[in-house]
Amino acid sequence: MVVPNALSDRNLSFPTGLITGIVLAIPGYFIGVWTGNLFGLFDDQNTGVILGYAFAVIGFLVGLGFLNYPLARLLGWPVTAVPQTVEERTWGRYFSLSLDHKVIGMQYLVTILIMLLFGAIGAMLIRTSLLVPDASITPPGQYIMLIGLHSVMMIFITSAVILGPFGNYLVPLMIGARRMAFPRLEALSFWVVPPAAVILAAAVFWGGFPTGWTGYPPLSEQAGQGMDSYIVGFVLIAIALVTSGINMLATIIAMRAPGMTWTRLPMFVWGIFATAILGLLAAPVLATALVQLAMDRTTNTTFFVAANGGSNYLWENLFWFFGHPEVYIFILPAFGIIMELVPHFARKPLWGYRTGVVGLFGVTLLSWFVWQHHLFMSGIAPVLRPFYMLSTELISIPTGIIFLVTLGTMWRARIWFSVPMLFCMGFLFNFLIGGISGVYLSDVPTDVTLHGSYFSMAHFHYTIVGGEIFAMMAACYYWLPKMTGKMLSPLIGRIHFWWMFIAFNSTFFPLFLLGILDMPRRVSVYAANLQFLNDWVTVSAYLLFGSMLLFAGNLVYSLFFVPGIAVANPWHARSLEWQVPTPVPAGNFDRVPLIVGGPYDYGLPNAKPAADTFFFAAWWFSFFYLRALNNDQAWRPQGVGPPSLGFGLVVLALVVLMAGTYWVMSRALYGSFSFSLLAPVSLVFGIAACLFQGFGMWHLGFGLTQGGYASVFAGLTGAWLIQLLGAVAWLATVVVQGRPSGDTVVRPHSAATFGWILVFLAAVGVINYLLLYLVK
Amino acid sequence: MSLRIEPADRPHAIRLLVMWVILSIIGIIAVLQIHYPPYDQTIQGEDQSKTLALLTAMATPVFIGVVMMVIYSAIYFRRATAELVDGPPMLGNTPVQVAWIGISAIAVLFLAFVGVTTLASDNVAKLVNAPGRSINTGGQTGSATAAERGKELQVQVVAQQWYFTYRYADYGGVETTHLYLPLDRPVELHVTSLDIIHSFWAYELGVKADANPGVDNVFHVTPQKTGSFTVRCAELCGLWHGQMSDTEGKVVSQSDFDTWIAQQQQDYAVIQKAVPSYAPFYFPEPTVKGS
Ligand code: HEM
Ligand SMILES: [Cu+2]
Ligand SMILES: [Cu+2]
Repeated sequence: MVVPNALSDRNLSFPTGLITGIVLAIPGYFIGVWTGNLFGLFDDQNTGVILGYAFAVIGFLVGLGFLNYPLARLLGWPVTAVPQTVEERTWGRYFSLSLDHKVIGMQYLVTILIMLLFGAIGAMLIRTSLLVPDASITPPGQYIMLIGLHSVMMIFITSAVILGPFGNYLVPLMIGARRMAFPRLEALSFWVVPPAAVILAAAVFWGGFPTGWTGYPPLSEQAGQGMDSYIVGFVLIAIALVTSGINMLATIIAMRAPGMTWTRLPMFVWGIFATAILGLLAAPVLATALVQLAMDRTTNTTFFVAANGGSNYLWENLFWFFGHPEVYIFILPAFGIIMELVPHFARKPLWGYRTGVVGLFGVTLLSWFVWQHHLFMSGIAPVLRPFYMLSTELISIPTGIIFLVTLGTMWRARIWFSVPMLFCMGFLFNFLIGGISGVYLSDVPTDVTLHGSYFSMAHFHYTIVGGEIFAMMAACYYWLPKMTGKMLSPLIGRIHFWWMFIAFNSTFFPLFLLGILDMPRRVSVYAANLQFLNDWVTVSAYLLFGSMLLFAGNLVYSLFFVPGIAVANPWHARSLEWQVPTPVPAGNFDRVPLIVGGPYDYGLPNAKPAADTFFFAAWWFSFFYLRALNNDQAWRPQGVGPPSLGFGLVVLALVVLMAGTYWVMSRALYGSFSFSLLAPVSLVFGIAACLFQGFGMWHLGFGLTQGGYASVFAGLTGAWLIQLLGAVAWLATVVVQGRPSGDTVVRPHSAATFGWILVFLAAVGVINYLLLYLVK
Repeated sequence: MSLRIEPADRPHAIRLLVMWVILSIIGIIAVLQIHYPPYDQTIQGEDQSKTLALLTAMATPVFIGVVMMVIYSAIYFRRATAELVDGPPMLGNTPVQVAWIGISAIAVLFLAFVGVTTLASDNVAKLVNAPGRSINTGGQTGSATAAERGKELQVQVVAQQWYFTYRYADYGGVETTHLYLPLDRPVELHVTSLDIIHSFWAYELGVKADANPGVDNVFHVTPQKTGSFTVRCAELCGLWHGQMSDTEGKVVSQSDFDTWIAQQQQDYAVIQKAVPSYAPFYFPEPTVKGS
């Protein structure tokens, strides 16, 4: 295809790769720290540390080569929307920015397994400390540091452990696509994960953070700089969730091969689809909460300071509104795996395909309405407790469907007891216990005792380790022959399964008892009479760790000691991913009908407004929540208010004009492709809006510490302004080039998408104006 | 949509059903023998242990049924031959699915019903029904009506890093380091915090309530047996969270309580002058970080 208006055939010549990434990350960190310490309000360095991490990540991503493509577009250099996949089998591709979903899947797998090792070592140290009922093995400071690092590391892992490796590798193969819809987003969703892990680990240098994974303020505001690792690391994971959510949804909706109808979609793909919806919509809410926490810690706003117009309830609501869908982000891919694998080994069709899909989506839907079951004892809205009790218990119905479908599939089957099948059966047993214990927790009268105790620890380890990790193991034994070309040893696999199954139950079942017997979570000191149970658990935990080592051994053995390459379809499965040869060729399929169209653009997909809506909605929620919770004086003391009604109106009008002119232009593009004067006009409006708004924020006339309103004003307008700036930058590239960037095929599409994004930003502006200037 | 059972299904179905019924009955009887925490020191605790028993009794047949199916499949539906054979192509069975969903819905609704009624019942309603509100809304303490207030002993639980203290509003707001409660007298607990979130967990009393700064979280409890109880913190609150416990809580007779509280008023008279006067919540000064 000819690119008609390539201005030049120059190319970017500076070397990009992992090394460059690291080389740029280090100065990035120091520049960030320096800037932060220059402008930061306090002498406690939080601003510097946060900016340092942020700049380091940006440097890392730029060094990897994420900027090459946008830069080339900006400068009008020729770009290939997505490089042709070439048959390339070097090790180097695993250490560089690759757009091949198979490489990304493997990168994810290895990264996650390494992180898992560190998380597990943390767990072993925690259990070691609990060998004795006093704090003599680890002093309390180290103990809560371990709790924080272990829990957050594990949450990072479990958010992605199936979605990342298996989702990226298998979804295109299973739906008959040559690649993902947005390969650059896909790469981004991976490359933010290693920095997240490193930044989290860096908390060690600051003595860790004391809050566990829930990060409750005011403790998290009291905490030292280790807390900044939590904030930045979690933001990166939120980015990974949103980007892979967008990507998976677009891929599954738009890239299915002809004939891959919705009713033929493999269950694993359905599981990923449901997960993607949750990730896309939940992670932005987390991002909002984290931004607020970062603002409280650095610019002295008071989102979570009860004495000053804030409330720690705000965090608890936002966090769990994300947090509960998050736990289903863990488990839905696992449901998908189980329903995917069991038919293959039962040698029977899935029993009740449609019912199974309904089950998945029932869980997805309900998981938005239950978050306050984490807050039954918090004192938030006690009158709503019966509602959350009911909605939580209702989730058992769609969850029960998953069991029904799997058990029905095994009914009168000819089950082949391969290692993956064993893990599926283990999953059923473990998740059954996990689910039933969830019902105990959702019943308010019993939750009085169980909340915040070891019982809830047992519950979520049963669901996450017993559920998600067992499913992940099944997936490893099942799909690695395709992904690595090596069959894992079935003999070691069997030993691994039984060892892990027994050790797992022996580790986590006693935790139910400990909880019922009055042992709170996250303590290094416990009642002396509980020592026997605790020691039992610790020894079992060591054994569980041992089973993981056995798995690692099996991996190493299969990779390095098993000669030859596994047969293409060792399980004689009928599904699409097994029909391609092993190793999978670069383009996946020889003759896949070409999928025409589809957005190739980087970073501006249609799903963005969906995610952004939830981002801003969380801010609007914060506005009303703090306003309702506080009296007038704490919310908005005398003299604190928006610059002026007219001022806000001017900014808003400018943004509306910017969006309007651009939108008209982008519509025009669809018909005749003529570039009009409207883009520069739109750009001028945009720049003016940013200047006005920036000026307004500079001269607020009130301090950010002055109540909840001031905090929300700063955060909400700030977030909006940042997005406006991004939009203006994009517009600028359009104007500089004299045309919307990209090749002709894409141009109208991305231009229109961008038009919609501007319209969306204007709409957000209108709502912000209503809240901040009129409702106040 | 009549339930159709193929001849080949019948022996399996009958066998499973019989086993399930027998095992479930045994199981339910067995789990009902257990004495469930938090036992019966308070009316609320007793309600909770009954709920725990009920839940376990209901979970038992579910657990047994599913595990039995898994094991049964592993034994009877495993492939006997060396080479792969496909199973019968069954695509689903609508009546069975409808029945499964219907039964689980009934079970769940029943549970929710029991939960809500327990909550709303005279006892537990008092435990968790009263709203805890931010005091900033203008002094509402979320407490019982004025008439009830006279009946209920008002006790404030003040949490801070890393201990709990207790203030007895009816006794001039005297602040003590252990919690003593009189027998058979309804108590209204007002839980609040001076710094960050803690959670007041009196295990034997069957009470857990988060202590939030600026919030008066109200819970109710009525002790019905004398004896001691343990207080712990159930929300991670920093360095010494694990050590934030007290084993010297006591439920005592009204007369013992009266002597004890008189002693406390006397012992702490000096300190009492320095303590801020009793309020629904307290904000330490300065209120702003870094100022
Ligand atoms: C049958 C479905 C489930 C029900 C009814 C349920 C119910 C609950 C309830 C009520 C709590 C709050 C406990 C408390 O703090 O007092 C809870 C906590 C939790 N659940 Fe579940 N749950 C279910 C499934 C899952 C799944 C599938 C996962 C993850 C894969 C999960 C992970 C968690 C986690 C991580 C927590 C603890 C969060 C924390 O406090 O740190 N749950 N669950
Ligand atoms: Cu939840
Ligand atoms: Cu604590």
